[in-house]
Amino acid sequence: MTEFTSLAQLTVVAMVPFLLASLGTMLGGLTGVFSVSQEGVMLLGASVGFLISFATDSSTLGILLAAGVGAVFGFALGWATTVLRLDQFVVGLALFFAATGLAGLLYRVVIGQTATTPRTDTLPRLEIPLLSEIPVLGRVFFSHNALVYFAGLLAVGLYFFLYRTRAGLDLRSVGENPRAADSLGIAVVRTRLWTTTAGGALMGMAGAFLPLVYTGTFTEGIVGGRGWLAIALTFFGGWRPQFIVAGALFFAAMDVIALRTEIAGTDIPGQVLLVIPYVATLIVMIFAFRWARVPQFLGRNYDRESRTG
Amino acid sequence: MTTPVLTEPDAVAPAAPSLTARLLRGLLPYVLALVAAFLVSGVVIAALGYDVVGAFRTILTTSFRTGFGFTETLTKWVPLTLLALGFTIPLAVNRFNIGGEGQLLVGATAAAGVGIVYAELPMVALMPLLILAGVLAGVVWAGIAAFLMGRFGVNEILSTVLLNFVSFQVLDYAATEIWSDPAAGVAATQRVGEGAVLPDIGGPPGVHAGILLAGLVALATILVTRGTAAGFELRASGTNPRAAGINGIRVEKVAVVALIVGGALGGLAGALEVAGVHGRALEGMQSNFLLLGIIIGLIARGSALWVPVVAFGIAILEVGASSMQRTVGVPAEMVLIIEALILIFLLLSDVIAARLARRAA
Amino acid sequence: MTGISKSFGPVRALLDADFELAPGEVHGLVGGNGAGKTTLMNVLYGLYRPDAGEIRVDGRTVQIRSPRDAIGLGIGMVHQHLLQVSSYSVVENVVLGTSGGSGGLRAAARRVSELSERFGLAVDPRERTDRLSVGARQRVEILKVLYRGARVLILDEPTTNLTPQEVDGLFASLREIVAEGTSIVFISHKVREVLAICDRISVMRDGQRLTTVRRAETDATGLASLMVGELAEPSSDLAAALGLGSVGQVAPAEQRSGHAPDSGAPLLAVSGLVARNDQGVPALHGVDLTVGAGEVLGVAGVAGNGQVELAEVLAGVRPVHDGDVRVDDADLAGRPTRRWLDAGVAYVPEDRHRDGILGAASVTDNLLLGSQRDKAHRRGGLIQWRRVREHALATIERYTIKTPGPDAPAGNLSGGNIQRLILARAFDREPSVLVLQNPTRGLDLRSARFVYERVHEARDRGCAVVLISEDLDELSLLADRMVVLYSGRIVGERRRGDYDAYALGRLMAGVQETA
Repeated sequence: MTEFTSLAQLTVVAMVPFLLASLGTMLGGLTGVFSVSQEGVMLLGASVGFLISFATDSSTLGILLAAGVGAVFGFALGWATTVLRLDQFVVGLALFFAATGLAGLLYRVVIGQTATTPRTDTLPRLEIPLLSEIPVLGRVFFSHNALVYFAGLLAVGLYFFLYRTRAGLDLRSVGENPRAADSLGIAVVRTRLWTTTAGGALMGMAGAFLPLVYTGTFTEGIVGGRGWLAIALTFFGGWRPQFIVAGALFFAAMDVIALRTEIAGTDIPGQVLLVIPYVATLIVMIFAFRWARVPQFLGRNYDRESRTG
Repeated sequence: MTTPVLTEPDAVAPAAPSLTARLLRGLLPYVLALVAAFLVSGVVIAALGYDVVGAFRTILTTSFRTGFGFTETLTKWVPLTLLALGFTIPLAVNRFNIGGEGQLLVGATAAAGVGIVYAELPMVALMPLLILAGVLAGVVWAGIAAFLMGRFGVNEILSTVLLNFVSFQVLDYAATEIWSDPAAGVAATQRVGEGAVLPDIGGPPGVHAGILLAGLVALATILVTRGTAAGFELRASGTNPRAAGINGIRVEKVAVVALIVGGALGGLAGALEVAGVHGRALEGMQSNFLLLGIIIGLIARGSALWVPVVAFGIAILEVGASSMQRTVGVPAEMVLIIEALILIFLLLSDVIAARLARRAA
Repeated sequence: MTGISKSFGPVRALLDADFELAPGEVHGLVGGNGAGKTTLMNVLYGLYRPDAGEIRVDGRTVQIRSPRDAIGLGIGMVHQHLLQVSSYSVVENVVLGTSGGSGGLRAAARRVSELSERFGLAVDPRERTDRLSVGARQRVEILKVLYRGARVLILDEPTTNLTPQEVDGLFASLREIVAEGTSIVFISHKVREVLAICDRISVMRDGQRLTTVRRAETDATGLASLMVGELAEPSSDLAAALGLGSVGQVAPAEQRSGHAPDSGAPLLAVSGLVARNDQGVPALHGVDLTVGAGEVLGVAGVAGNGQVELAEVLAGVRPVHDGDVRVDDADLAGRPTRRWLDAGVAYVPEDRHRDGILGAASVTDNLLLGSQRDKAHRRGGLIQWRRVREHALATIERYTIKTPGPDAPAGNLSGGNIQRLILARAFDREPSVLVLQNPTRGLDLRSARFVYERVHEARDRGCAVVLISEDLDELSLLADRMVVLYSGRIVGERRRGDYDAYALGRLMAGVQETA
């Protein structure tokens, strides 16, 4: 395998956690609920995914339960901001703390203090017959674990659902103008609840991806800001799946570059390389906030009987 | 939509309730939230098979049983209060400073740098210099986010958070490449000079003198936010930015300044940690002060008056947490969950209180 | 609908109200602001849950818990504020929420075209809604209801933002719709319009239905007195607030005495003013205005023709892109808002809650807002809260602001009292230029009259007043001179005594003035 092919393949893998977390953020955001608990929910997903896989030897079960726990946190955000109409940022932060605490607690309770770091198997590679044999492209795109394919198909599926179906039209109207949606009989609360729940599940999966594909182990710093970067990516992608995929490529490339050049050994201090993803994101956001459109009602709660909204 | 004004012309809302009634109504949600949070976490602790009573007793009393515990609590109170204020000041203009960690670390790095390079200077000269360096570093760090926000509209939650991750590497570079101390075991700078170490007051065991400065800063914050035109403008900008702008307040400028002031407090916290606690800058010194600072700020509902009080309560829990892990075996992470639950239940009890008030009306 | 009651916190909006709609009629629902018309219909449409009461459709008792239920019963509503997703096309807006239905967007677009032809509601189904005029957007709202096959069409103040010509077009379409068997509820406070289109008219007052009359059995005076409840001859202020007084009538002479317009040099001079809207698109293209001391200049026009931009530029809130604005001969273009305030400009914004007050802050805070740096309020850098509070108490008394106390949150006050607060704050600065936009919208009569008195007071003090309003009657009553704003340009000017509703309407609609 050439250096390029291997880098490209790594980049495709590195896209997945960004893509899943960002699509999850997008789903809730398109109905107007802005989550800031990604970093915590991803850590919890990583913890749960690792522990279940470690205990049962089933990484599939690990991923599913991580998604389930993420869904619970997503639902909690949706419920607290629609039924109770609490501030989205404050609730998001509170859930971020709770998830962070829970992630560490679960790991401590199950694993305790150990001399060696426990490991679990990483996800098996599923080579797609025929397609994986295409030179270069086959390696880069069709020789991955199941979650990679899932993330790709999800992005395509969401694009068609949101922009090519009437149900998608209805869904997006809730984040654009909930009063208009409500006046036409679209259930604002129910729509927001299921998008935040599904979004939370995707964030949990994004977290589980890290121990189950990258490392095989769980550490407290495993998420390393990817949750926050996913928010940036969502803004950067203008809350649309097709641009989020493009943006995820950029974020993943930064990730891989930081990792690779460090190993390759250059004269540049390692610290400089490690800040590349964050600094690049900061620079990119200068432009993202210029051109990207956001759902009109993003971050705002809807109260049918409010007289001023 | 037209506003119904049916009963309006002659309607006068009920007179303001008495002070005690208001105080009770203000405190009730806190009491409920505390009780509920401890109840839920008690169930969790019991389910995990630990001694609930022992765990809670350790959490709540460690700070008061020994002088050492109390000193530790006060020592933690300093960065917690400063970071919580650094969070709440921008919060007053609806800006979320999630960068306290980064501001603390660059503040600590700058302070340690000054303390090492000018190690020979006497304290009267070195200490102000060190503190100034920490504050300025915090200002610069938050200033980057403030600039991106004011000039390009970049969301400050993201920029402040991302700068945290950059700050880890700034500290790491200083601690491994510039002023490295290989004997320390972790990435850490060399020790600062004699004149850069804050003396203890009280004791022994005593608390470093930085607590006086932190207390002064807290008092000043209360005075400025409540008593000056600048504080009024901060409040007005947060309550209704459009109306504030129409009445001549430059809301964007207020927000930028508020974020920078928040950064200054973070930088000060870093400098005091170097001068008062560690004597150097080192990896992991930020602990989980960022999360705690935000929790404190939110529990205090952004009030500068309540931040020091809530910070003290959280410091008690934190000191109790490590002791609980040693003696009862409950992982210290449990305390973060208790704190998150207090916040969540406080939010919930607000909703309940509002519903009750509506039903009563 | 019988026995409907609904409260919002301490405000009782409906008290045992009832209403009956016959098949195939246009039923006018009239009453002053706050009489409960909109609230009652919002209950019928499922937007508000009533505290008590019963609704029957075709004789059967029904529970309407949400708009979905209402739509299912064949009820449709066009709200005063158009409820559209502005980034969607017309057809996308129309089909929203009907995803259960069959067929793609193309079929839906055909259906929309067909409906719009049948009822004379011209609109292009493929156009994005934010590119449409207000009149066209309103037609989209009606199409939304018709597309769902409604048997009951509720229109809430549908003529507010329309020119007289557009109103005529709307009425023609409504007649077509009724002819096919649909019933219409026409909410309005404009007596003339109600008399023009309705078969029966119900009058609401104080959250109750007072009476219902047939069109043939009533006239303007009779209806107006029912609405006001004061059988005495309606004064012209009341008439104006109700949209009743025929435009062109000159206000009573005594109001004009002791006042000489155009005296002295212009206090406010605007020339070649260009400004952009929130989207960055030019909204004012070279506006010239002068207002003298003691003069009230009225700016008429249909909403969305640059009114908001003009008001905000004159208040120093929106940047001047080109041209200059002089107050007392000092050019203020490009200066911060603070400098405009210091130069004596005071602004009474259209959206009181959004732009006028700090809703969550106390009345005292709100009265201090803008003068927090005045020396009178500060000593040694600290605000003298005791003195500020005393001043607030005096102001509350003088401006008869009804509030539980100076510490009560301003957002809890009623619209009229909020407007008093804003006026009190403006007058506290002793302004030389006063800019008001739709200052009586949504106010009860007493408060509206209070506003008019303050405008007169300002004029008598030698203030240059700019009154931007969509209400021609209000303008006719107050303005010494009127200009018409259309598409960001001044397209005509009339002096007092030469105000004619249809001529002004043509100007407002952009029809060129002929000789």
